[in-house]
Amino acid sequence: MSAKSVKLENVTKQFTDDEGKVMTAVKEVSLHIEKGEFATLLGPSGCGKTTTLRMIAGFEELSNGAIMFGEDNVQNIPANKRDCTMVFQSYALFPHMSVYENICYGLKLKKLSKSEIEKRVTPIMDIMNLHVNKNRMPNQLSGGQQQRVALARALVMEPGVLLFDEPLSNLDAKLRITMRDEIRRIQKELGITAIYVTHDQSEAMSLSDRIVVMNEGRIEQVGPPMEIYQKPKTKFVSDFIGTANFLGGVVDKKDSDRLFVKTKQTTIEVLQKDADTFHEGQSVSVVVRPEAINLSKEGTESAKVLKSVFMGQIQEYELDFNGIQLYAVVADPGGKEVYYDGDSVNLTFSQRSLHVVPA
Amino acid sequence: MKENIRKLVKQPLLLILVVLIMLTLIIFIAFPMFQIFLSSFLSNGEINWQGYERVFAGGQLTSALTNSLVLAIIVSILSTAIAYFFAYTFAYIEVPFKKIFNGIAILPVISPPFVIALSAILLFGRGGFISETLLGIENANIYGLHGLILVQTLTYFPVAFLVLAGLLRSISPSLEEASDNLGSTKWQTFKKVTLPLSVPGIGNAFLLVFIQSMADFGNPMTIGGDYNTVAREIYMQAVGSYNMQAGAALAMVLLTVTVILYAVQKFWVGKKSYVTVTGKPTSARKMVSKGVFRRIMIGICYGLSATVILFYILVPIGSFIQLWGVNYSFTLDHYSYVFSIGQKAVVDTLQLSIIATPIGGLFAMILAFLIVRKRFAGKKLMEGISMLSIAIPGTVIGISYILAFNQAPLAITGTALIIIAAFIVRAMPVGIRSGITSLQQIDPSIEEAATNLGASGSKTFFSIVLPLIRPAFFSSLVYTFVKSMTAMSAVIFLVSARYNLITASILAQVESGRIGVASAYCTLLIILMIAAMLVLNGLTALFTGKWKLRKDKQTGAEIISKDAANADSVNAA
Repeated sequence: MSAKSVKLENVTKQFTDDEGKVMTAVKEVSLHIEKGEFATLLGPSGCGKTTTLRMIAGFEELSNGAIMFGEDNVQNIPANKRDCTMVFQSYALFPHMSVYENICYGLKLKKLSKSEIEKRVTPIMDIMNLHVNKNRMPNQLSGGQQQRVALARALVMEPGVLLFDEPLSNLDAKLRITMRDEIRRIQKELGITAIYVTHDQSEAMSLSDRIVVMNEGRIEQVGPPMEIYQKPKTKFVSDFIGTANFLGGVVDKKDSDRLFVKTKQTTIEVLQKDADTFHEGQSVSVVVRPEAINLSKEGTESAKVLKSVFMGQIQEYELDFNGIQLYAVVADPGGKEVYYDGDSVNLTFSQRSLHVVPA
Repeated sequence: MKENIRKLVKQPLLLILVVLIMLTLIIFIAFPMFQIFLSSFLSNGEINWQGYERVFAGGQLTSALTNSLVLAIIVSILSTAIAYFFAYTFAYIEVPFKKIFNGIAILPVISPPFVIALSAILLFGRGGFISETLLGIENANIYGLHGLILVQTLTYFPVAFLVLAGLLRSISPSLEEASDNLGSTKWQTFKKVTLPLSVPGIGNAFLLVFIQSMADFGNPMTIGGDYNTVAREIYMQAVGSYNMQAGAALAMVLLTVTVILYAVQKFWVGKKSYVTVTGKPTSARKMVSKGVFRRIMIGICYGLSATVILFYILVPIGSFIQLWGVNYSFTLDHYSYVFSIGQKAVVDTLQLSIIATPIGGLFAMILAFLIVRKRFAGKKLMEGISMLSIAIPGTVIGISYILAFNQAPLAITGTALIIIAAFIVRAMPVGIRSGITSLQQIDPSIEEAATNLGASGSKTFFSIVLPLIRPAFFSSLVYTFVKSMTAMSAVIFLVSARYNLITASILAQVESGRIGVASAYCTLLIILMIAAMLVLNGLTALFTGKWKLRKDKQTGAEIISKDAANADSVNAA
């Protein structure tokens, strides 16, 4: 199997609807996915992630830009000749063929001999645990088994790039986690380049080497899961990944790696590596993750508890912080002091967890 | 648009297909319709309103129009009422041998157009079994409005039944349980929940029967007597008195009525539906299994079913009887006539139908495939024309073909080609419909998966698409065959000395009072139809045994009847 890198250069896709209105689904997307990397396109529905994937697969033509597999521009290679296979959201198993026939379909088209097909299919069926179901029809399989067949059918082609279009969205929650881990394990084991589309952030977090967050046809941010969560570049990313409170304000002062943001309530000091990308007087938002809020009976900032809910692992709070509503969680409430509706508390932020984004 | 054109040029095979199909549709549907429109304003090369003046001036044509409307209204009301009764029993009451209802429902689809009219004559006509032999009425007259009401209601209520049964079955029983639970009596639940929910279905059924009754040609020709109707008058004007302008004007009026009704049915009534008609019950309804109410309902339905069946078996019986009403002795004379003098019509009909069947079946599948799966320039037009064809009555096709194909460059009147074309155009809507339905059930990513794994366009079509729509393909084949064998309203205009057809011969026999021979022809047709259905069932079972696209296992016959009802086609032959 020879994994390939994938490069997107200024890829744009426009659709014309029946009334002649032009809709831009993907806008000037540039992206470089390394050989053997697991990259996830993450975003809300309609953000262009699936269209991007379909352009890589060759199902949609580009309106502008280029896609390269390794060093080769794939512009003129039709979908059926591209070195990539796809696992579909609906699995798209051929209902009139058995499990085995489904898996060999692509190899037969390559005119491989029977023994060669057998040689390639057997190890894949081993990995995917499919031997028992070899002769069953797809409609006799459970959702998880169908998923395995779809994955096996794509893997057996030994593609340069493996594409996933929300493959787990039709499975129940438990099975989704099992399959997620399995996909990651196999991808690492075989060293395949994988591009995965999802709207589920926990899926993206647990699977990816890098996450590509998309919104309205554009890339908002590309980075490893931790960076995306902790150092979001835009308000959209901080809001879409995890939960965030925003404190609006302006940059009052800045250092090489620190920002002082003056909000209505108070001036907040934030450690920020890219502080020089901001200028004084710029309006910004301070991203406050719910777990970055500490409550106590001492301190300077004062807030009021509007609602307090015990959730087992965490205690949830809705707080009024000088007229702004904040959402906070405190982990492991069993060992801590718990506040109730109407309590006045002192509120501090864990400085290390704060982050500033342009407003 | 530009992008679509570019796509077409990139795929030469697709381009050729699109151009071929578009040409066919334009030549055999759009062009003839345009010709009617033109001719309705033309007399001796002059443009005038004389045709329409005659239609609305109050003469023979006006009475044909009002007659047809009156007939259609009465028949639609009666058919819908009877059908609702049947459908309710079917969906709510435990009835032994329920399958009989399904069987009765397909009879009008597969039987020749005038079986019931023939039976009505045998029973109630001059020398009829009931009218004269049992009741002793001499010179009983079944011909006219009352005869037509009887015959059309018995012919068309099964169509309404299919629509209503599907709808009632799809009403979620929990809605009615909720009503019961809130304290309603059974009658209140019916009045306040079930009936309002079925209003769209009732409207649908009413309109479908209305269109069919308006377009009906066979029954008015057989049993109409002095009661003149539109379809018959068009034929009389065109073939009888060769007044093409009047015929064309009347055809335009009929076409307008059916197109409007069809549009109302499709876009207005269809949209009002509160329930999604999946044909699948949401959860099991608790059927009424005892009580007086049940017995009464079952009794009435069995009685009506027996009547319908009686009407259908009377014809085969009549075909063995020397002279109905006079001499009831057994004879094979009628058959020997059919297989000697009448043989040409049988052979011609079979030949032309067998040619039309594969062409029609394949044409419908390809068209459905293009409409559902492909994007290309002119797709809207293609969809539009094939949609229109559903609403064109056979008589209108007939007269338009004479007008369109009588002169160069398309002088094909009198050839086999024109009859085959008429067969295909008449059967096509159902095939397209069932192709579309079946393709829509197939996830497009299945085809993409094949492409993704390396299959070319044609490889994908033959290894994936075709196997998956096989049931629709077979049902389209058989429907084309059945419709071609029993076609009358369109082809009656087109038969010639070179090509005669069974249905035209039956009509000639009826007109000259030779009911026995007509019955023999009809019986032969029915046998051929049953044989065709059996072949379809065999084929469907053979090719779809391994996997099922539709959740509930259906026989080919059921698929056809459902498709026919779905297609809402004006298949009054």
